[in-house]
Amino acid sequence: MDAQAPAVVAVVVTRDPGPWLEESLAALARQDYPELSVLVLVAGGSEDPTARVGAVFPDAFVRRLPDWGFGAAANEALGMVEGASYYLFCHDDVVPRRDAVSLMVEESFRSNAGIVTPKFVRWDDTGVLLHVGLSADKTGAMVERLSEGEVDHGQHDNVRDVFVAPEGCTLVRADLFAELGGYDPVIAAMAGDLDLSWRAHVAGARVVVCPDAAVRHLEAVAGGVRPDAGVDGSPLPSDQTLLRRHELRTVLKCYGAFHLLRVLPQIVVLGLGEMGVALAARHRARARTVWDAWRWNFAQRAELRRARRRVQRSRQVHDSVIRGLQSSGSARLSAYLSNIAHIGFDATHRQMTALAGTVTAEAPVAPELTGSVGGAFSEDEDFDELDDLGRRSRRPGRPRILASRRSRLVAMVMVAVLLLLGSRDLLNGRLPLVGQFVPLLSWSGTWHQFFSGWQPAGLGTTAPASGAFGALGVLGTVLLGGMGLVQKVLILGCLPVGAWGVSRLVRPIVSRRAGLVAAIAYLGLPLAYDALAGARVDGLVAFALTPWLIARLARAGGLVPFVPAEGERTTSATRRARLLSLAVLLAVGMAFAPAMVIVVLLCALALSADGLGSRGARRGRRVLAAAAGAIAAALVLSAPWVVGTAFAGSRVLGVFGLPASTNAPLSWASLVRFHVGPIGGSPLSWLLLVAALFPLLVGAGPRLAWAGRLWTLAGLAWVLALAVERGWTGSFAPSVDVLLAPAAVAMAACVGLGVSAFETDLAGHRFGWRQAATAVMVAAVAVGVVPVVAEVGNGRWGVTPSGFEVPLSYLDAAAAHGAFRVLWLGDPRTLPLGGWSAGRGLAYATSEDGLPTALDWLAPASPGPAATLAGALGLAEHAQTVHLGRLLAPAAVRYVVVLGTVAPAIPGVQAAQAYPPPAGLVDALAAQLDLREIPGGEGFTVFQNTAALPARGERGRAQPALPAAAATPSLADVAGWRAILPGPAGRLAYVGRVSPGTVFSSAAPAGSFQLVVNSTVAARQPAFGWASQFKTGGATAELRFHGNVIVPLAAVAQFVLWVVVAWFLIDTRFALLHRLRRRRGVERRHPARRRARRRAAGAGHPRHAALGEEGAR
Amino acid sequence: MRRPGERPGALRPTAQVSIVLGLVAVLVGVGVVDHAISPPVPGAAVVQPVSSVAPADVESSAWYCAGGSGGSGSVAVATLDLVNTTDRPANGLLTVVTDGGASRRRAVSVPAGSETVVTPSDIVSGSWVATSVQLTGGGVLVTQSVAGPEGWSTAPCARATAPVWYFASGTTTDSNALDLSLFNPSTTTAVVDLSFVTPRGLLAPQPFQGVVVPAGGLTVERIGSYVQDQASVSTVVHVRTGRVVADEVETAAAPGLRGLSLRLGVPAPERVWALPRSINPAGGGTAVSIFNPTLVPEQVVVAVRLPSGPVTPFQRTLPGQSTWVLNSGAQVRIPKGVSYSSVVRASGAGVVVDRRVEASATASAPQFGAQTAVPAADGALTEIVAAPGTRDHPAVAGAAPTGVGLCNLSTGRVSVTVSAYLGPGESGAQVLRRVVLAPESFALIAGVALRGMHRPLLIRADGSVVALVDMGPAGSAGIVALPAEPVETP
Repeated sequence: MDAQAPAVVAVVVTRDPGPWLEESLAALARQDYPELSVLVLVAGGSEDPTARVGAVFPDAFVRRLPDWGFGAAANEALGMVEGASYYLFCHDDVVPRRDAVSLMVEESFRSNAGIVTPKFVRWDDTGVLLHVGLSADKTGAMVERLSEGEVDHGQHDNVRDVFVAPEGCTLVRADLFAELGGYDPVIAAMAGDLDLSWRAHVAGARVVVCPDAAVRHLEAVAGGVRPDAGVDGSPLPSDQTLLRRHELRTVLKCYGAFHLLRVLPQIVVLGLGEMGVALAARHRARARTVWDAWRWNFAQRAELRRARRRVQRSRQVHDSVIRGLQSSGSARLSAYLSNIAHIGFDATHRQMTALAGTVTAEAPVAPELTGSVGGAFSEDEDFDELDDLGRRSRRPGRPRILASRRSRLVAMVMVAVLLLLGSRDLLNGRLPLVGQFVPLLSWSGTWHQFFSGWQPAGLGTTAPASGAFGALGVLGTVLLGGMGLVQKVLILGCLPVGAWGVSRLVRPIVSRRAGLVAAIAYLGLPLAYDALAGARVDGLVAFALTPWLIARLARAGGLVPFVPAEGERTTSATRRARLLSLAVLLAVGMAFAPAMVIVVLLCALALSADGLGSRGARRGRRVLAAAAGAIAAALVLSAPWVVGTAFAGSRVLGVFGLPASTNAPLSWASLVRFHVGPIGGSPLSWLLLVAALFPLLVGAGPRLAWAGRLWTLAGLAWVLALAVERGWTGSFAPSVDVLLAPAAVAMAACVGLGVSAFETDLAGHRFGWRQAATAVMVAAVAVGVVPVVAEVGNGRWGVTPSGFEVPLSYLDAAAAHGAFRVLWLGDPRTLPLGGWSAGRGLAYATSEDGLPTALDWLAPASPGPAATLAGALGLAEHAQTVHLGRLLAPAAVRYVVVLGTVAPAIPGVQAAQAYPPPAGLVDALAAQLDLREIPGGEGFTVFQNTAALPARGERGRAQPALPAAAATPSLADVAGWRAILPGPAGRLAYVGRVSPGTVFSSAAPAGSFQLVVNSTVAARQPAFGWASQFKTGGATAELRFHGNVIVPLAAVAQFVLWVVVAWFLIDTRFALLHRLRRRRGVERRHPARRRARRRAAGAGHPRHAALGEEGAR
Repeated sequence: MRRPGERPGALRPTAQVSIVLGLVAVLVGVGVVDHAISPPVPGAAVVQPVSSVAPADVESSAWYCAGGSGGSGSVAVATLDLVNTTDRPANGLLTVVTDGGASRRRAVSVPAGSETVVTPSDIVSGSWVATSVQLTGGGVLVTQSVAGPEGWSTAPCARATAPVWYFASGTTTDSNALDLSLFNPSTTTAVVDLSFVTPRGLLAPQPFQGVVVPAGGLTVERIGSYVQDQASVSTVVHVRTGRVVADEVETAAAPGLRGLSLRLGVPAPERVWALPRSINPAGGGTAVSIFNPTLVPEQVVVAVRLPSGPVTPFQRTLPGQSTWVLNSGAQVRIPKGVSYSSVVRASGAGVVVDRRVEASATASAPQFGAQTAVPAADGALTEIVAAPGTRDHPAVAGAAPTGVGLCNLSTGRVSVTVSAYLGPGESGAQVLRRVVLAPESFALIAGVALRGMHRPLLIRADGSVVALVDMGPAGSAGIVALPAEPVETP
């Protein structure tokens, strides 16, 4: 530096300095800048430091001043110093590096800056940054550009414009300082730097940070080492109070009229909000601080006006330019929300309270990133415990919402308690006979039915039984034959299983916290409870299995981030296991809800659509191939039932669901918010949908891509459900509950993705609309589940206390008068058993000897001879017969039950969802001369067939034989029959005495039954085209099933296949677990290998690579 | 290329906001479209006219006839006319029940294309009788005539039971008797409530509540016993459980006004009713009773058309559960002795309409009669009306059609052929008259064309027409009349 260097006067303001003064002065004395002189201004205080100054810096000037603040004291330099080009305003607790002054002066010249601020580092640790300039938002709130405790790695070592040059060591051009009139003398402490810098900006001067110039700063006042004092030496108000006063003063002074009008209302609103929050949190001091700022400035209004005039006179730069230098949004609100998210509400408010000076300040809490990000992508529980800063556990007393394992456990327990409370009345006692809640067979009966070659559904069929009987048999075996418990497990277990599935589905994409929120959102959707209220087991099964299916489909299709880790061996056995596990799930689902095939196809289509923002047609093809493979495998696993169904021809579509009435279809709005029953009608149900939009709004990377896929899936499901509801799909009418399950999964998963996007994609964002959207999402999730939570009080999720077993109990008792059938008619949604379609909105089914049981639940696709019942019914509906009873007589239909509601309506006790039968049906039946209406309850109508034949009957030889071909029974045909061969429904053999004459059997197919009389097979004659009649003498007879053995053998083969598949899956799973355990054992012994693997995972794991920056954490 | 500060894998904020807004717009848009597409109209029940002829190919059909008395010389001895419109014999079973509980069955067979007359009282005798005719297949029309000391009348039988029946008119003044026959042919016991709308208001006498009509039984109630001295009695038969068929028999025995009226009830209100031809006889009169059985008011318009053209319609707001008796004979805008057609239109759920005709005291018996008007919905392309008995077994001596009133309620011209039915097939009809009806017009076929006709009349048209056939002998046209019944095609 030559002698021509501009003169710099270091103005050190001090008062009762501590031992650090000497070190500070010595640093100034050591500066390599040749034209540096020092002026020490002693602003009051009890101690005269002249001697101490002289000892260290003999050339320094010392002047004693009254008890003024820093600004007022510094302003004295204006009158005392002549010829200086720069002032270096210093606290007495800063130690500039030797080259600091020269670097700052150089930078001032280089950047043509009016004010230059150095890089402040800690007094005791120069490796830790304190300030590299400050920013401020429009309200004057200053924003630190560093994280607390941020280590200096040179990451801020660029010269740049800053909005505020922090006090402590500030180089100001002398002419600028003079033009600005120096520091604001009213500001004794706090925000004086903001005021000076802002006025410099207004005057057109640049404020830059010169990071090469490093200054150690003790921050004696802020750190509490030295008490702050006012101009008269009295204690000043709290720092927060001063800060808020002076920030507001600066804003009021520095903005032009237009911007002031624009900003001031925002400050008012933010202030009111802050006061409201503070009062709500009982932090009166903070509320007072906000209020005090306004009060104080109002009191200063005259002087403030003058100061403002001075500033505006100096204006060289428009406010819009200055706004560009400021931070956007509200720094305070952003910090508040961020703190709430990261350190929890209580900790945030404790921090606020401390800052307001009402309690002893604890160590300031720095916002933390969630440690769950790492955990989300790690299979290692230990790794999960690490947070983003590498710490293993959190410090006590800083709860974060659902971030800890304990809090998640508490939340899960709460959800479980709510589920139990909401299901309490269903857990006690028997389930009512409504919808598909039919009583299950005994344990042995269930197995027998699975292996049996004959089903009594309709009029009887040799079609193979549904695999559901096998599944129920397994479950019954596991539960030691408690079939009542099996039914409850099957029905109520779907809720937690589904929620667990959603949590597992999103697990590779989101944190555990987000997974839990997704699961809660899934449980908060009304779909499952409406399925419960409507007693639709297929809907519940779809609710439970769909998330698992989607996860497995994504895994089988190799979608990111479901791909295996690099280096992780993917053997063909593993791939087969993945596909098989998907197929097994699908097969189980198909057994109870065949429309699950449609669900898988929908999911595959949506997932292969590849979402937003990424490419991957190959992956899409893989997903489709996986779905096709899984469906094919599932069909093989259900082969007997599938083959039997295939023989149904055009009726095969009926297995997916029967076309319901379209008279009052569910609206789009109802479908979209899953309001398909009595629960969920509240407008609040929309809110979960709103929350599900969040990842689309703020998500990035895989979260955005998956949100796109999931919304595509939901859209497909909704549109298909709407088409079915409207009847546009004709006889293809899958249950809407089943179709909506993937949409529900998608919405819940999107909620989870939203939480994850908040954790990951919003980190580091300044306050803005995204944060506002976050608040909306959080509120939407919290309030969106209220309609479901409100149903907890019901204790039954809308399931009626009484089913048809109460008002129709006499049907069971009627079996004492001989075997018979009940013909059930009504909208498919009302039938308490499986049936077939007799036209849109009308289904029919039969039960044997009274009320339906599980025997009648899962009807085969083809009704077989039972189609004659639909034909007869059509005649009655179109007034083409007055003898429907006689037409139904060969089928032994003794009762016809027409249902109009899901459950019987009992005025004042229970109401049930109404699905009226087709108009005129009841009238048509009432017009029949041989149907006697039995007075009953509301919601159903019962007719007794006065012309009915017994299911197994006989009459004397004097009576004529029945017509062999299909024919309308005459009066003579239906007269004179007595019931014989008693026994419970569904048996394959009945034994009893018969009299000489004709024996009639209404079991179909006729050829599969034989009557053995005295060990001799009686000659069978057809009756009415499909039934049997036998001429017998009086003796003991046995009517027994004599079908072929193919069907039972096929069932056995199916069972064996399932066992093999299960063995293979278990074996594969155990092999995988064994590998993992072995690897962990090795890593425990050799931690270096573990670290190496983690490094590899961080760098090369496809999940992490795909997940972007958070994957590398 | 990624912009500075842009997050990896993120779209531009504006793009994301646009996606969300677009998604919301699509969701809302589909919702709006879905809302705009109204759901299909609920499948209406298959409503057959209560007395239409069932298609020939139905599995079985039945007719129910009530209102006749059983004993020879009693007030309303019933005769059933069974007309087989098919080309094969119609076989069935007649079940005649009496109000005393007696019941007897008899097989019946109607040869192809012919008419058979059955007198129920020949099968079983009782004060009142009712008959159910159960037939294998369809294609048969059954009507009923009653005759007694005060006169004779004819009415269709019912093809179906119903839970509600309405009668628009009736009187219990002076010597008039009003008997309500409730026939329950089903196997379900029926419990019936009766209520009456009179000038005094709605009456529901306690003895008429909970009337039990046993399965397959007949119950007859004399309305005048508890609804006394009412000039206008509209009756509502409401069946609590089960279903019945209801017929009303009204007897006028005053000197100079003797007559008998048999009316089958109406199972549901209709919005448009027609009386194709009426006439106000000299010294007598015609009254139209319009009964609103619903609880809501109806705007009722009675459009009268003379041969010279329409007259100013009669209009009234008819309160719920009230009856408007329009004495057309007293209306100056309708001249005496001139034929006219009447169409009654209601604005809401509908009304029930009867016509009552009184001849002068000097006219031949019967001098009084009443019929239910013909619902416009009953108009059909092919209709048939039975002759009151055959030449060998007339309902009363000389009974035969005397005039056919035809009414075209459509907006197009309709060509109508009236034939004597001789049997099935095109050749089985003797054309009596062909007429072309202008829109909203009526025509009368009478005189020579029908003289001595003892065959059922077949009415074929290329559009929907309503036909009401006047029968004689009677004191005036309209005293005994029978509507043509639609013949349903397979």
